Amino acid sequence: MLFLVILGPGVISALAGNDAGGTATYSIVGARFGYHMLWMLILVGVSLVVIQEMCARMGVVTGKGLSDLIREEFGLRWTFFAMLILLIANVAVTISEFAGIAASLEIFGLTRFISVPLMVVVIWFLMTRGSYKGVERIFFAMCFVYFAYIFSGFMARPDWAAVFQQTVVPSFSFDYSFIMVAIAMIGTTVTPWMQFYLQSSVVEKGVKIKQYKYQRWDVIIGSIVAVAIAFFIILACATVLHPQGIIVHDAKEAALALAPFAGNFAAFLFALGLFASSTLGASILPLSSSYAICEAFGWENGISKKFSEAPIFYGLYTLLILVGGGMVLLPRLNLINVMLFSQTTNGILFPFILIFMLLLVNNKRLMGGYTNSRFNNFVAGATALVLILLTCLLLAATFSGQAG
Amino acid sequence: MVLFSEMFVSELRGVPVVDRLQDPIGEVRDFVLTVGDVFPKVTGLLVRVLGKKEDLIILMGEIDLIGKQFVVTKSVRDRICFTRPHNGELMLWRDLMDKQIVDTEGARVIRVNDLKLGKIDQDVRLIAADVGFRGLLRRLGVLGLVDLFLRIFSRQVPDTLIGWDHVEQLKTGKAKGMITVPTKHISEMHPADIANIISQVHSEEKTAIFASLADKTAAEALHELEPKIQALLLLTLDTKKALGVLEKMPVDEVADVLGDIPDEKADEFLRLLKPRKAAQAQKLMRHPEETAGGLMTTEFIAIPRNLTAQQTIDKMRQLAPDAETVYYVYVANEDGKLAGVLSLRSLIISPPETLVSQIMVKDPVTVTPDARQRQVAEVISKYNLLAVPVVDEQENMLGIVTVDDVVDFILPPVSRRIRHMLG
Repeated sequence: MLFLVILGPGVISALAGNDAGGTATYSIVGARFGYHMLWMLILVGVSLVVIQEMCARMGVVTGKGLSDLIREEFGLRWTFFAMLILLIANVAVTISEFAGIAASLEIFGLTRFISVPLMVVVIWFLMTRGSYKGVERIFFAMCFVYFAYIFSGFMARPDWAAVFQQTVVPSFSFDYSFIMVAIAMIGTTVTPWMQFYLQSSVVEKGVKIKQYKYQRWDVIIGSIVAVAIAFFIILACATVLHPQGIIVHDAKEAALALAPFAGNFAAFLFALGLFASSTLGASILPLSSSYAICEAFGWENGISKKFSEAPIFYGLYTLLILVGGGMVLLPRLNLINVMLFSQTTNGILFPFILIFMLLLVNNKRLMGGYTNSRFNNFVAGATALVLILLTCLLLAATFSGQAG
Repeated sequence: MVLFSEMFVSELRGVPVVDRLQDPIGEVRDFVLTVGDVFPKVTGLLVRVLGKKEDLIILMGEIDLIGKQFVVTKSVRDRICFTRPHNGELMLWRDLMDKQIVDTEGARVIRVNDLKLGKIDQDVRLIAADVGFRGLLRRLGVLGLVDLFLRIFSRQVPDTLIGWDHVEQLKTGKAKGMITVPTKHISEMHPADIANIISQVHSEEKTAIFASLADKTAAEALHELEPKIQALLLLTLDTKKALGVLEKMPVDEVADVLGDIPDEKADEFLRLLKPRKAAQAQKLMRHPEETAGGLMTTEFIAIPRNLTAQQTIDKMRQLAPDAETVYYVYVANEDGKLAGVLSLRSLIISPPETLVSQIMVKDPVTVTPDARQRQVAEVISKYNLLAVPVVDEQENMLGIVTVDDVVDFILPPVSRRIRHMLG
């Protein structure tokens, strides 16, 4: 029973959030700003719990996925808008997943011009022809490598007093890079795709309202675990990399944060985790996007269909993978920056999706007695507001000449 | 009443309503329908009336003309009789647009992009659902542009309309005053197609569709669904209906589905089922699902060896209704052990007084109850059988595995293949 709770959709989607973009972003947060953003992570953790719980509750009560609900409640034009947002955000994340694949395999000395095309083909066949479920478990197990950060965080002997102080006392700086990284950190923790993925997983599982309390714990535990891992990634990077002035230019530098725990194996361990989580993300994301979009527009979908039966579904899926892999191969691209920017894009776009979610979850006709509490609305609303505000600040900082 | 040609609902929503003196009244918000006919009749327009807070209905009798530019009423503004909606009526835009419907001809679930109205005799009726690209572009307001562009290549966005006579509407959520349309069309479809549709709709609709089926159809459809959905249906259905369905299912399938639901509920069903069926199902449930024992049914025809061909055929008339397959008749010794097998063919072409022991195939191919599914499939395929008997170490016959059980293993029904790998 405990095992079922641990591997529920809430936990899976929260852990899948620690993908290439997540790892890169948290590493950068720690390396560039030390403990300064820890307070923000705690707040993001609260909004992650609230938002994921909202999403799971909507799935259980309505029995419908998020894109279904948007289509049925807001009509075609709004659906088109929402799907466009989702598509842009997911393309960005898919690119970052392939960047993660490339970066991890480059640690092993394999050039991205071989690894990326290879993985594009492997993933395409795996998802459409192969038995994906079994492979998913292997990769998922490999993601547990990230728990190494918890040990590394302790063994690096951080200044706990400073850690505690920075966790509870907010600090902020009106600086282009600080704001961009802040948006990325929020955007990688609560992502648009995760909401669509989580809600359809819950619907597929056919959870009834009576069993909802278990589902709720699954989501809450998943979110807490995800934030805890993020916390220790930042902590390890802030303790090991920040004093040395390493700002994480490539994956090798990020890997050094695991050195207190893994010594010479740090790079190997890091690459393993990054490869697994990136492959997992690169497999799930394009597929989940195709499902969401095809369901919203009522196009035939499903991997059990033939290409001729569901051309748009397969076309979209293939296109997403090709674009994701292709962008990484652009010459002289900095992979870490790609991962960071994609998460900033996510953070900028997420408020739009969140507003749809808030309107839906507060709809009495749909949700009956299960609409949001005031606290939920406050947290989710504040998240949207803060992201919009940060985006405006980012624009302001860019134009006031602080960019670069 | 005049309707200019056939029109799409999306083109009419927001159109201004004026009276016969061209004085503005408001704008069209929705269309009120009556159900019951194959092509539902539009009985009124829901209008956002200028200067009023709520939307009001103008009955069709008051309308003179419906066009893409104007809707004109027969009398002047002050003489028009408005009715207040009472939430019980079916509205085109609110209840049908963007919702899922079942295309009973194509046996699939699709989404409504637009709805087409047409004039039949003197009435305006809903005649088709637009489920294609054309409707999508029209709703987005870019159809004209795209058509213009494609005309350069002398092409056109194809129309994908489904006549409303082939549409089955699904229950629409928890909306107040919800109307459940009888699922007549669906119940006339092939059980495998029904299963395919059930697997594609939302969980409440799954139960609603399933509950509306006749017990026998429901039993056949249930078999085609994946175990997770089978369990969901049995648990959400009321017990009486669920029992009716279980009674119509072959005992091996009953054992299968009961194995997938929580023990208490399974026990409750076993208590309520007919004692003979319950006992057989219970026996079968002891075998692991992936083995011959788990796959087999105990409903087969067995006869003593001293019968004649004619006696056997008479006996089959009695027994056949319960048996899963009639193509083989199994012959037992006095001590109940399997002696041989008769095909229906040899039984029919033999003279009536022939003893079955003379025409039966002795020492037939058998499998043991713990044989793996794959082994059973191989045996059936190798010897070209329709069914293979399952016997224990003492050669006592326990049941048969029929070819359809192993076909499912080799090629699972479409609806059982994983639709979503997410979750």
